[in-house]
Amino acid sequence: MSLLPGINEATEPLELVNDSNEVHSLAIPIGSQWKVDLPSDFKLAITIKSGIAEVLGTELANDTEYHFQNWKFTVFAVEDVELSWKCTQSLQPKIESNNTASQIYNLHFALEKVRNSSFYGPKVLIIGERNSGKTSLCRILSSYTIKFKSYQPLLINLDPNESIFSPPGCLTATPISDLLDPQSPSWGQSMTSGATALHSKQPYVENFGMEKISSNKQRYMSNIEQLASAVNKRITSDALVQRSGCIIDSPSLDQYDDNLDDLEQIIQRLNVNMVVIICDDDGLYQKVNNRVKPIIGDLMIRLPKLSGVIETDDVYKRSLQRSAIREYFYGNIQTVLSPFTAGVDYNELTIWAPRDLTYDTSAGKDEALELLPVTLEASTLQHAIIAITYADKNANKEEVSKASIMGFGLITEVNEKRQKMRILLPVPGRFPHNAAILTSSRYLE
Amino acid sequence: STSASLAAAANKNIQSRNWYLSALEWINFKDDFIVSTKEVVDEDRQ
Ligand SMILES: Nc1ncnc2c1ncn2[C@@H]1O[C@H](COP(=O)(O)OP(=O)(O)OP(=O)(O)O)[C@@H](O)[C@H]1O
Ligand SMILES: [Mg+2]
Repeated sequence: MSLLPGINEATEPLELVNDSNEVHSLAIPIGSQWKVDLPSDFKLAITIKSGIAEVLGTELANDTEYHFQNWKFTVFAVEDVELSWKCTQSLQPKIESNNTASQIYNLHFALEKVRNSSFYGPKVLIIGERNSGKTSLCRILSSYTIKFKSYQPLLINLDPNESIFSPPGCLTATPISDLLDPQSPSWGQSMTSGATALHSKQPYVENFGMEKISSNKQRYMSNIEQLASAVNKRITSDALVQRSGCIIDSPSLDQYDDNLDDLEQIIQRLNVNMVVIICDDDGLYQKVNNRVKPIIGDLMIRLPKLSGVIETDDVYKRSLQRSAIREYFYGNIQTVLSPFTAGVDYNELTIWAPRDLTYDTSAGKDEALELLPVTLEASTLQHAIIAITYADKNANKEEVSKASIMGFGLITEVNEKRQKMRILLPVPGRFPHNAAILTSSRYLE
Repeated sequence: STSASLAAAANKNIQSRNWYLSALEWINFKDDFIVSTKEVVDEDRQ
């Protein structure tokens, strides 16, 4: 993840979207959508005047102003909708019909049927091509699950490029026990933001710490194993979560090994009993089907690329990751947070790094999981995000790599002369007496 | 029981900004304990 400049953008008040901006009105007919392909420096405010409109499955309240920026999303009309909007720059809304919405409803009702008829909810893994709508589908299904009944589905993110209730680089599992924030690309606030206007979510976080899962497949699979262990225990001890089931987001299919061994492992570790594949390529579908069908039988469902998908590029994905890091420390326009800067002496810190096998080609198979000690110097640590573990600072590397993650710090300053660092933390107080793991994320304030 | 006291401890922390839960705390956590600021404010009003 490259250097990420600019920190104040999201927490600055929406001064530019004020009463002097021109207010436009827009009608969206039932079953149609407005794809809001919002350029990164635009700020948009939307107020629903009548009808039911959804942003990725979450219904917008009428007569309430919602604010959006640095996010591409789709407003879908469940009923005929009339809305007003204003934007800091000029924007040309285009309305088109959504021809995959009914397939998503059918899928949702199929899942609902399992929940209503069994104590063991569906565990559905969403796989598919790059940019096909996997993450959006997970979000829509999660929202629908809690819409009419007080279920608590577990949203599991296995794609370290997505930032779902966490900074990027993580695998997470989060019970969805209340509304998702329709204004937030990272789905809403977690407990690291404290009590917020909307209910905050409690994720379990595994830190992979690199961008590409191919950088260290063994580490990725070991993260999944640890996540699955926590998830399986939570499910056994929480009847509501057990009944509500799991919705699992995953990296695009091109990132798995060619023989799909890792896909099979994911299915087995998380006891997946239904697979949804979003895929337009028949050959790819056949290949995956041949591998998955013997494991889960007929419960493999195929969907075409979702009609709400907006074409995006890596620049946009990086900007989402940057916002997620900023949001972790500083909050967003709805909930502004103040992080804390801790002064830390070199001798109070132990930092480890995972092996990136793309560069570290000498490492054997059994060394792949080993953490390497990091020398404390400005060139490697300045602007780096570190994952702070629950393991003691003096714990050995095996303990550190097995420990859960308590949160993240941002190294804002390395003073080699005075052997001191300044580290931004979400929680007040001293830097914890715990070992940390260096991630590949860098963030320049 | 440990699970009840872990949950209680986690619950106490929700009112302020906090670290993520450890695996053990998370496994034993029940999301029904979460109180949002809005609910707290609403209760104060009553
Ligand atoms: N209703 C919608 N359905 C599908 N995609 C949507 C919708 N609304 C907005 N989008 C946008 O389409 C883009 C691609 O969707 P999404 O991120 O879900 O795909 P993905 O398959 O998860 O991609 P990746 O392979 O990068 O993980 C995103 O920018 C998303 O915000
Ligand atoms: Mg995705």
